[in-house]
Amino acid sequence: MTAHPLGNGGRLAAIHGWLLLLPAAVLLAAFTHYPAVATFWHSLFTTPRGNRPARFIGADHYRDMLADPIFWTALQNNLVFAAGTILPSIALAMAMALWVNARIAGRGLLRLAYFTPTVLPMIAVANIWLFFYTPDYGLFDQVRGLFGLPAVNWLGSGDTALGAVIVVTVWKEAGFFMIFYLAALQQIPPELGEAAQLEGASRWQRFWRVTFPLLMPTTLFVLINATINAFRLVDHLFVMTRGGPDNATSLLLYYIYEVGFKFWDQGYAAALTMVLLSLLATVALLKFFWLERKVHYQ
Amino acid sequence: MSDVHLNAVVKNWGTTRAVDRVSLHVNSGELVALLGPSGCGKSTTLRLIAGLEGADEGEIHIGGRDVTRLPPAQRGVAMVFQSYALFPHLTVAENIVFGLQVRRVPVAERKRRLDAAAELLGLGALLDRRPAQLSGGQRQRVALGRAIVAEAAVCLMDEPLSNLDAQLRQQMRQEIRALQQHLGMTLIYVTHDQTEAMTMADKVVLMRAGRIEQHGSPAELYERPASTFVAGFIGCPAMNLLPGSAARAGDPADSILIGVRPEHIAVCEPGRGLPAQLETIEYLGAESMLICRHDDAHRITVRMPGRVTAGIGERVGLVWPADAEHRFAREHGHRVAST
Repeated sequence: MTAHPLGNGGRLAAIHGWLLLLPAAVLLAAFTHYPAVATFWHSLFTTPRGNRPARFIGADHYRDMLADPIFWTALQNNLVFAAGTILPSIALAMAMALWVNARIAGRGLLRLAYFTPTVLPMIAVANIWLFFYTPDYGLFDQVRGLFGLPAVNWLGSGDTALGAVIVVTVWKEAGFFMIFYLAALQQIPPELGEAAQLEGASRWQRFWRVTFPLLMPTTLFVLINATINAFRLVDHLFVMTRGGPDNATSLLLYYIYEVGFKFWDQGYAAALTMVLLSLLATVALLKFFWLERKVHYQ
Repeated sequence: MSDVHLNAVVKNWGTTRAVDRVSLHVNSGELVALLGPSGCGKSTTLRLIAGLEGADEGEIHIGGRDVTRLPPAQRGVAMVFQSYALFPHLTVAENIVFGLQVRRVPVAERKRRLDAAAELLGLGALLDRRPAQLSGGQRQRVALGRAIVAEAAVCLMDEPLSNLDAQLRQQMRQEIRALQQHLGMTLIYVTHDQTEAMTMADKVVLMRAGRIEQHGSPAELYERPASTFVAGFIGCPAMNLLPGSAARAGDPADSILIGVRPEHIAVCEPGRGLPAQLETIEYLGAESMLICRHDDAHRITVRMPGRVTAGIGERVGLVWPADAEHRFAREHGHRVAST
């Protein structure tokens, strides 16, 4: 038996192993684990100001949160925003992918066109859509004007503002998700569709019984991304609404930004962040442990 | 009745003709092999019959019904793909009854047909597995199962055995043939392997460049090849082809090619027959191939039983009976009547 170059198992091999893990562990700890723990720690203290140092207050921030109407509005808005962006953007992405995967003329250009929103920065997208939504001379109102319809202040009215923001997000995200679906569709051998066709399956049945189940791994991946984005994407709010009117478009992360960096109440912002974190962690856990089992990986 | 009839069917891919006015009649209950080198249009012909491609010209009739413009599902055919095309997310049982399910066949009937197919193909223990958990041969059987439960009178197979190892391939050849006869199916079978075509088929259709080169029983193709292409394609090693002038001095000269199968040639002492030089001997156990060269130009293979002990480089004479000779016109390669 020859000796292992690192010694026969034992201490040296263990040290070697840990050294290999070290770079990843350092990054993970410094930029993920430590900030999360530190945030939780800060959420238990008051925000230090001038000559008043931080003081331990336990769960006071969380108690305040329960009584904070803007928090509840932001949370509710965020749930509406999630419901309005996740499923529509996925469905749209799948539909577009199915279309540009088919043998149609100019599909290269079509794919490019659908992918363009992904390439644009969200701030630029928001500015484009700001123009679309502008009352009177924005694109939508000009089109409405052709039919003699009155101008609408899409972003200025509490009834339409959140919907308008949702539309922008779906437009931005669907093209990105489409790329994943397109890649997945091209992995499906065409004979499967042909076999199903010969067996008498209609176009609809072929989609639901063959294509859709085979796209499930992609759907799971996209679903997780869409969910995270629903709580993460707030860039367009800075340009389009700043959370207004009357907090109608304030989302959780935007509210955290306002509390933390406009009102400088970092202790409370830390507490709000913990809520967002636990919300996302729950969603991720649910998906991996429950949906994972229903997905067939090839 | 489930005969298949093709009348002057054409399929173009852009400017190339993949299938060029192919006319073909397959009788009910027959196993017909579409044979040919790759790119000869055999798979496209099969896909035209299945309806997976549309014919540009001509008509296709199945069971006396014109199906040229019908979608695949309405043509009453089942198909086994080269890749088997099993649905990876479904179990073996679900794969087999997929077609019955989408056609809304009652559950009891579905179960009856599934059980019958599983019994016939020995798939009983595998019904709950997924395709990824099966071996190549088992997947092949599942694909066959899916084709038989449809109870279609016509079954199409596109190189179904090409992904199996040699031993399994031989076994499956016999099984598919037995299955076809047991169920009385009309089976059209695409292959590039002449052994498969010769051993399984009632009729062999040899194709080349989108056209049918010859259509007949395996014996006809072997014993009376219609052209030099057929002569060269069927039989291994291929038939020897020599210019008429070389084969026999004073013969109709260079307008004729003479073909002789390797097993019909005998070696004799030099001075008699066609003079040649022995180049190499390939010993295959039961037989030996003697590679000879005539006139430093024409290579002639002689097949002899057992082991041959002869010196390499030796001068020999090659003789064959006159009735073993095939004659082809040199110009277009077609068979011409023997004198």
